[in-house]
This record gives sequence, structure tokens and C-alpha cells, in this order.
Amino acid sequence: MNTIIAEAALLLVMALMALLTIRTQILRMAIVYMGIFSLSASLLYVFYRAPDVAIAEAVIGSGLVALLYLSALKRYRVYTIGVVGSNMPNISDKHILEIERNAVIHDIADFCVEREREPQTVFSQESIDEALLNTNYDIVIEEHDGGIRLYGHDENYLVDELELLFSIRDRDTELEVVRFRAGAGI
Amino acid sequence: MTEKSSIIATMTGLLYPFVVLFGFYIIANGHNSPGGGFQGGSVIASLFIARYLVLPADDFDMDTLHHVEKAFLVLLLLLPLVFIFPGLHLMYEQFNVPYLIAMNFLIGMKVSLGLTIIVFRFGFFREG
Repeated sequence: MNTIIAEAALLLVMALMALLTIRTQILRMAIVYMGIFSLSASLLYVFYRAPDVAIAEAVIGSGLVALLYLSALKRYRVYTIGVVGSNMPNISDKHILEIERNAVIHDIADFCVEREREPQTVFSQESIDEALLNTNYDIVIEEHDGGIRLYGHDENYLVDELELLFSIRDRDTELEVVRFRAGAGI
Repeated sequence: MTEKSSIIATMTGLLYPFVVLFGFYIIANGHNSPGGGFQGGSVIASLFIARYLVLPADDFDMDTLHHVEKAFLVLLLLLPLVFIFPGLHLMYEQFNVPYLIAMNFLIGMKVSLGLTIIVFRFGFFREG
């Protein structure tokens, strides 16, 4: 009876960890969750009377694989900047060049290079709500009349530093930083 | 991971001998208890990888590691050829357990070297 409860608890932990792994915004946390997932799996193998498999799972699943992912994460350096706006009726190369000359995007790109990340700018016609809901932008820039709005995820620590950077520098354009949480609206 | 953490360094240094002991224990007792060459080998490999976490220094000669691993593979193929094929395992049954331990040891060494090579190649991979 006790074994059944322990098994059920372990299976629940595994399901929870799997969900957390895909739901979290911080990749480092996802790796940790995956390690816990592997450890519960190896404990479960002990209950299923497969201690051999349990040892292999514990060492490889939560040790070697986590480390491989960590060192891969060190190389993950692309930082996606999304530029959206309803005043982009037809995107042309000329238009994009014009936006790219925009000082704010330049500053963000410089900042990314400073932090050893490769900036990648994506222009799209979708509305800000769609952009925040559907795609995997690290930061979204929306131009509206007179100012620029910067949307960053609540857990994205680069956004804090960006906000600090822009608050130190004097800017002509009005800049507003908006944070949002996962799942919640703005 | 780039900055040094003295907590991780101290704890890894403390655990180092125990990890080696545990790895060899798993290998040596693999024939009649859970574990075996592969599991013990990966435990020993995790030792080298913990060292990589603490001190990411590229002071291993990768080519030598490759050659040693290949040598273990050759030994791994030769030992059954020498022991099993002539039927020695039927004639001298008292050597069966040492044979199993030797095979587990060879597998463990090969696995630990292989996993270490994989992780180090990956960790020190430079583009271009």
C-alpha cells in the first residue's frame, strides 16, 4: 500500500516537473527541473525493481545531461528583438532600414553585444497582443506616436538592466518599459 | 558558470575520493549486485566532468584519451576471444568470476573515457 502511494507521488512529481520544464521562461531553471525529473524517474525504477537502470538514469539523466545542457546554454546567445507596430502597413527594405537607424534599437543591439548576445531583429505587422501571445521574442518594441514602448517579460533579467541603462541616459524620445507575466495579460 | 565558486570547488574536492571509490565499487560488484561496467563508468566520468565544472582547463590531451579508449575497445574484444572461444570457461570454472570482473572493468574504463571525451569535446568546442 505504501509503495503504491510512493509510486503515485513520484509519478505526480515527474508530471509536475515535466510541466514546469516546458512552462518556465528561464532556461537554467528548466535544466534544474529536468534534473529533478530524472531523479524521480530513477527512484521510480528502484520501485519497479530495476536498480541497474536506476543507477544509469541517476548518473546520466541528472548529471551528465544537465551538464551538457548547461554548457550548451552558455553558447545560446541569440537575443530576439521584435519590432511591431500598426503603422507598418507594408514593410519594405527602405522602411526597415529607417527603423534600424532608430536610436533605441541601436542601443539595445549594442547592449546585447556588450552582454555577449547576438541581437536578431524581427519586424512584423502583427499587433502587440498577438506578438506577446504567439511568438518567442525576448523583448518587443512598439512604436506609437511620440514614443516607444518596450515590452519585456517579468522574469527576463536583461530587461531590468535595459531599463536602468535607459533611465541613466537622457533620451529625446519618450520610452516606457512594460513588464508582463507569463499567462497574464498586460 | 564562468566565475569560480569556492563552495562548489570545496565540495567537489571533498567528494572526489568517494566518487572514485563508489565508481570502482559499482564496477567490481557489478556481476552479482546492481550496477556494472556502464554504470560505474558513468560515475567515474561524472568525476572528470565535476572537475570541468570547477576548473575548465583544457589540459587533457584529447588524442591520447582517444587512443587509450580504442585500446580498451580492442582489449574488450580480445578477452572473450581468448577466454570464451577456446572453451576455457567450461574447463576452468573458477576463473569465470574474475573474467566477469575484468570485462566489467574494461567496459567501465571505456565508458568513462568515452563520456569524458564527449563532454570535453563539447565543452571546449570553439566555432571557426
